[in-house]
Amino acid sequence: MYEAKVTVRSVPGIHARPAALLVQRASLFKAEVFIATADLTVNAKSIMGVMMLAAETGTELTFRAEGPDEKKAVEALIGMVEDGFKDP
Amino acid sequence: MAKRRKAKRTVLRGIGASQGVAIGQARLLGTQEYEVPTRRVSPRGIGAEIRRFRDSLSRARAGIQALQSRLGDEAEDDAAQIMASQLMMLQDRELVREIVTAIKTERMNAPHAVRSVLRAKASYLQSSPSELFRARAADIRDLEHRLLGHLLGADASVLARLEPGSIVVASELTPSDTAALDPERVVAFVTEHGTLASHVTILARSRGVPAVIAVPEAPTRIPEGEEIIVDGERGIVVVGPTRPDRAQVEEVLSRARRIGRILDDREEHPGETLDGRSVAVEVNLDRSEVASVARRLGADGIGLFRTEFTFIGADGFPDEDHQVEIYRKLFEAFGERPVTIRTLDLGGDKYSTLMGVSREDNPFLGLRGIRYSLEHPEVFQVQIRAALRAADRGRLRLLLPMICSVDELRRAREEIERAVDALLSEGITLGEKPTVGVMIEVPSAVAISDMLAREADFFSIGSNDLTQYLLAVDRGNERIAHLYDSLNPAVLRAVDQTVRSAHAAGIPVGSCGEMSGDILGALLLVGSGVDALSVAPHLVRLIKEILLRVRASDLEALAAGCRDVAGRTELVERIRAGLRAYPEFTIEEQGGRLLCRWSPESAGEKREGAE
Repeated sequence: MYEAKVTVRSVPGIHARPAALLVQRASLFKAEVFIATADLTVNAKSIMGVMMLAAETGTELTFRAEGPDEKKAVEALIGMVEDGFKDP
Repeated sequence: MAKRRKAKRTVLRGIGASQGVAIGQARLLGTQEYEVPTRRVSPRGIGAEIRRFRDSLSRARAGIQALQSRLGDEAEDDAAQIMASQLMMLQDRELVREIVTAIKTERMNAPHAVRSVLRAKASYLQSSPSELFRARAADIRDLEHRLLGHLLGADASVLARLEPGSIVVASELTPSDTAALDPERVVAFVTEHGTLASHVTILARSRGVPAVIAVPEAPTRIPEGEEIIVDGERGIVVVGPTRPDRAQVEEVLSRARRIGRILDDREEHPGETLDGRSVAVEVNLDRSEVASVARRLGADGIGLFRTEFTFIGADGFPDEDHQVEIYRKLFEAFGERPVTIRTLDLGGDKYSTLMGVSREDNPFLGLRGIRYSLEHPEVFQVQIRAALRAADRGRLRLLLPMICSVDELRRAREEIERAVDALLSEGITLGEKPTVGVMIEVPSAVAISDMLAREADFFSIGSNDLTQYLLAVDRGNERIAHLYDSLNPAVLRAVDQTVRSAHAAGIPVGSCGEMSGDILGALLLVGSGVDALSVAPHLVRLIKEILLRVRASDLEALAAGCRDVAGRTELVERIRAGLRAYPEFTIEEQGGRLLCRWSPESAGEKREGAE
């Protein structure tokens, strides 16, 4: 298992488009990936789950993955959050 | 028509978002609560119930995909995004598992499981403090509705079954709703939510049909199938109209027909007032395909070509040749008449991805207009080069948005010179030298308008932004939208100062905001001395006709009076007094807004009677 934390800095947070991007990226990995806030843990490959996080700017997120590419998955997703979901 | 008990006459108040009056039958949309039968599924029936649910999923997916392919590239940004996100939700394994579990373990039937799982999610998001997340709750309700439509066999698409003369009543209208509806059959819109910046407002205005928004509980207070009147001017909806109500609507519609005939009969003429002051009536365009139509309607020029639509929708920014092709259509349609191309005015929020800038807390005070162009000369150069090349036989006016300082104007001019030099050195022949103008839309530009006028070739007053910035009112904000008022003396004084600065320096000044296309706004602008009004295509003939019926000298006195009033009552009195010589124009106060109504006289009346 691999896990790391990140704080959402982009404004206004992980709403529709960023959520879709995050899920699409997460789905490319073999590992199971979960995202947790203080209140809730959701599957990172589920759009409904990620939307439920309602992660506004300033929310701290923990990414946790389990599987062959767990480290790569967590790092890639955290990178997206840090870059504010800019197009590559 | 079938006999039915008529609803008691009720007047519902909202905000008039799109002008005009219509009468028709209410069609409630998206808000019909499906009657969801709840029964406990027997252990043997579970398999069938799960298959039923999976089947509704695949039909819902197919429905969205069909809509996507039908709309193709024409889908607007938000419509495309909403459809894509619904598709993702329908493919969400986690969500599917959750609903299947509800069927299996709680023995719910499929529709009940869909409703209970999705309702819980929607209400969770509904409690979010952020408006953007609450908006996602509406997407989830939309999804629930879609799935139930398939499960319960009800035709989900009320929109496709609309009869001619329908009035769409909805809690809110999503872009995917409006994409599915047949616009020919809708004569008006009523929504419970929404602002002047909402999708429904833009849609109704572009179709020229009336809309009243922000009507509290509209979907519950308006019965399905009931005859209703939508008055976009007064911002009211009349349920169960009486005979006098109908007569009034008929009067408005017949006046509109009368005006239509007067406009049809008038020969094309350059814009001028009754006492011979020349005021060009030009057109605002955002798509070049419409240019030839606008010319046929008699526009004296293009007062504003917004280039934003050229830039969005394409993958990345369009290249130079592509832009030349688009701009050339403008010059082909308008020949020797002036064509004003406003350089890119992409503003913060919506298009930030395209511009490669990060989201801004306050896009209206952010990196937009000339600020962006000066920071990205590579984008600006391509646009200027394309405009210059397209204008090889025409009269190009380049208009710079969001100018706040003389420095910005100078730097933009340098960029334009650079593009001219580069093209000439490449051996490309150019037309007449372009003139360079400044949008007056930020209070700072008004304050230094004398300095700007010495270095600019023309001014164009952007009354929408100018009003918004001067009064510090976001008109997209429901709670303060009523404070947005282009007749506020602060706005009229700013217009006056701008015109005086321009004329002192000997340059022309036009106006291209919505105020120019509103009769009262146009009269006050002409009274303030503007040389040109630029309006939406469908208003060109109307505004020209109005000008032919008034004397500029009277309008000057009117405008001077309005610049100096402390309150609304006094303002109304002054306008009425100022227009006393013109009985065909009357002033009405509707929903807090002042409106000038034109009721053309007897000539039209007689012809009406002859029919």
